[in-house]
Amino acid sequence: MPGDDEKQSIAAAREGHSPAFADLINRYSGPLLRFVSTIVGDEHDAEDVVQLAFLNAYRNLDQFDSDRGEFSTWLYRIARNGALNHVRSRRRSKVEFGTPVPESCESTDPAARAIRQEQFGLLDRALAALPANQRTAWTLSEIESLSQAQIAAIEGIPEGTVKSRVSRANAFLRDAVAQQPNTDSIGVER
Amino acid sequence: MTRDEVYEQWKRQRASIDVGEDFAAAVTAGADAAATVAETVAETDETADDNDRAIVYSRHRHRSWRSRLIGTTAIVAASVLGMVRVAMAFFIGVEAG
Repeated sequence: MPGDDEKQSIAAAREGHSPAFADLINRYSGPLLRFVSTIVGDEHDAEDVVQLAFLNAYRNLDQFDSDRGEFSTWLYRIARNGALNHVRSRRRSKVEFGTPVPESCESTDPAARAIRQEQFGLLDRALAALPANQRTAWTLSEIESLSQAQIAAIEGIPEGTVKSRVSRANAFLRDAVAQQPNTDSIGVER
Repeated sequence: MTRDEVYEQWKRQRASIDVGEDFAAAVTAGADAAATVAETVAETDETADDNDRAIVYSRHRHRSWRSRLIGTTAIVAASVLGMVRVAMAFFIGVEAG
């Protein structure tokens, strides 16, 4: 739930106080960039989409009605629409950048690190292969930890549909891990 | 490490991908610039509206003047042509008679 400081920032930004809007940008730029990246694929394209989403939000801040929903939901929805428009215009939605291997693996031997990189790459590709609606629902649920009600509001779908999309995406991604050919060599149990 | 652990670790890694301060600063700067441009455009729009109205009025006046000229020319030309045809018919009739 949004705190009082967020409400104050929104109120101040509405009155043209730029630093207040900068607070909102600092708060949401990371989550929005992660979310948009899973839709558009390319990291630089995602930055463009997120920047445009913030500009659209800033220009239309008067239209935001806190009685009808949370600011974060409204912002995610703007970003989602921008990302989908971008994908339609570019006719591609592949996730092209990989998830970095965790620091804990960097200290282990290079072979294990390479295998982990391969596993993460496979999961990245599996995520990219998901239908866009499952990918967005999964990202909002599993990565951004939003509630089903929030995701339903962002996507404009019933909560039951959110639940089934996330469930299907999880099953697909877990299958991808199970099909990983080199997991035995680093001790992955099947 | 189980496959569930691999999956959970991958998810944590994706969740930990964060943007640098540079990006947030760039977006903030962009928003500031957009706000400045929006204010400038809004101020210009008020003047532009007056200018636009003046241009439209001017064009309308110009078009009216031109229309009147063309209309008058057409009427005069038709009248002259009509008189010529009447005169020709008269002379043809005299010769035939």
